[in-house]
Amino acid sequence: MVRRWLNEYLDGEIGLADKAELERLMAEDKQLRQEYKELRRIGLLLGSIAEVSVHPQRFRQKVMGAIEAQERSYFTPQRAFASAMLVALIVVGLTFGLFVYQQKMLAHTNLGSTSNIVESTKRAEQALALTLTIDATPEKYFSRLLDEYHLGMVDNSLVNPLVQQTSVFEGAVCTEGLSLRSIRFPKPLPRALRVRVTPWQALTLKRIAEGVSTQNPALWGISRDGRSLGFDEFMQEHPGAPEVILRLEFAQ
Amino acid sequence: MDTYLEYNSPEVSDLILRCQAGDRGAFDELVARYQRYVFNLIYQHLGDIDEIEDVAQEVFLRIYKFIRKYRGNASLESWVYKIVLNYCRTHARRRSALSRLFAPIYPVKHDDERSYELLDILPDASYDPAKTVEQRRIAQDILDAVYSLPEIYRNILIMREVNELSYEEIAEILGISIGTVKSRISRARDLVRQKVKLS
Repeated sequence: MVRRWLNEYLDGEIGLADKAELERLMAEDKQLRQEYKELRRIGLLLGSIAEVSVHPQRFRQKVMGAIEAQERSYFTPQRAFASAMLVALIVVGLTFGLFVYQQKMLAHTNLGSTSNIVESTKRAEQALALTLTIDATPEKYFSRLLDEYHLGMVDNSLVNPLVQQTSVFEGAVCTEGLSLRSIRFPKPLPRALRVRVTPWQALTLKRIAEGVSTQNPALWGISRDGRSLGFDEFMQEHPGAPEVILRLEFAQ
Repeated sequence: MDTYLEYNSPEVSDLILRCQAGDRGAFDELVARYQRYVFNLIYQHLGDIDEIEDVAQEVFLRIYKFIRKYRGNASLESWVYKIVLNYCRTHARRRSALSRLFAPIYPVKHDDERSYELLDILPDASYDPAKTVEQRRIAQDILDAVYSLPEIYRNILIMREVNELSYEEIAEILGISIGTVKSRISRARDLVRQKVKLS
């Protein structure tokens, strides 16, 4: 408390009552009086620190010159060129960014529409898909088909879709007349094929399969509610369907 | 203008407004008016005579740059004091960092290049030579003690004892409470008294 009073007394910020009390204490306490004197002397001598006198014009001119130089330096040709280049760079960057963004958006939209088409096609295909299970090798089956074609039992309208939509006849050669064994395929044929045909052609393909299968071939599809349907039932569910996707599955 | 009048004279308020409006001539007037004040503050707080002018120039460039931000919440002198203290702190830190890397090299300025000179305000030696010499020695000891204090005590003691700022003004400039101002002044005085034997 006394220390606080002493400092406030030195600074002239002490209240009247505290001042009277402190002066009474100092009158009684020699050490406190000495401390006060020392602190006061420190203050007085510190206040006598040398002062700086400034030339009335010289420094002002320097400062104003520095301000002018600083402001001039903002508008140098180099700075203007650099600023212009920066602006150009930003514009180019933004344009490029916008272009890339647009391209991405476009690609995304296209992808979206393509995938939608694929999806709807898939759904349509599932709806009109039939499977023909044949208990024979594909080589034997297609040899039989060509045999019947040569014999005039099937016509171009059936063979053409197979030629156009599959590669089973590519490189196939007929070496010894028109017998079944005369057809040679350059490579093993796939065990499953998909071809778009009319329902009537699907039935013809089934009939050909009956000639080579050891077991009766099955022609079936999936109903809208997921049940397995025979050909007739399937066609009742899709009356007037011009085409079906026929999956040929070879069991051997 | 009314806001500025709360803490400044009408003349200074007008000067501030003109400076804020970008009047270069007004700023020249402001430099003329406050250059001695700024030089003294820098000398007192930095304690280095060689760098006063460069530091003062930087301080005035800052004042020119930020004068538009002065809102009149304190006197212009307090605001300038704050800028001086902040820059002195930055300058001291930079100087300390550089001195660790390089030997200090100060450009020697001839007296005729300088814009300032030191005025000794102790009594003339012819008055009482012996007493004055002793006073000078003690004054120098006190100054050395003050400059060896941590910055928070050094600054506050100079603000109070040399520039005779009130507790409120010190609190405003340093951004601390009046209670903290009082306790720091008390602590600073004790530290100096312990370092300088006056009895």
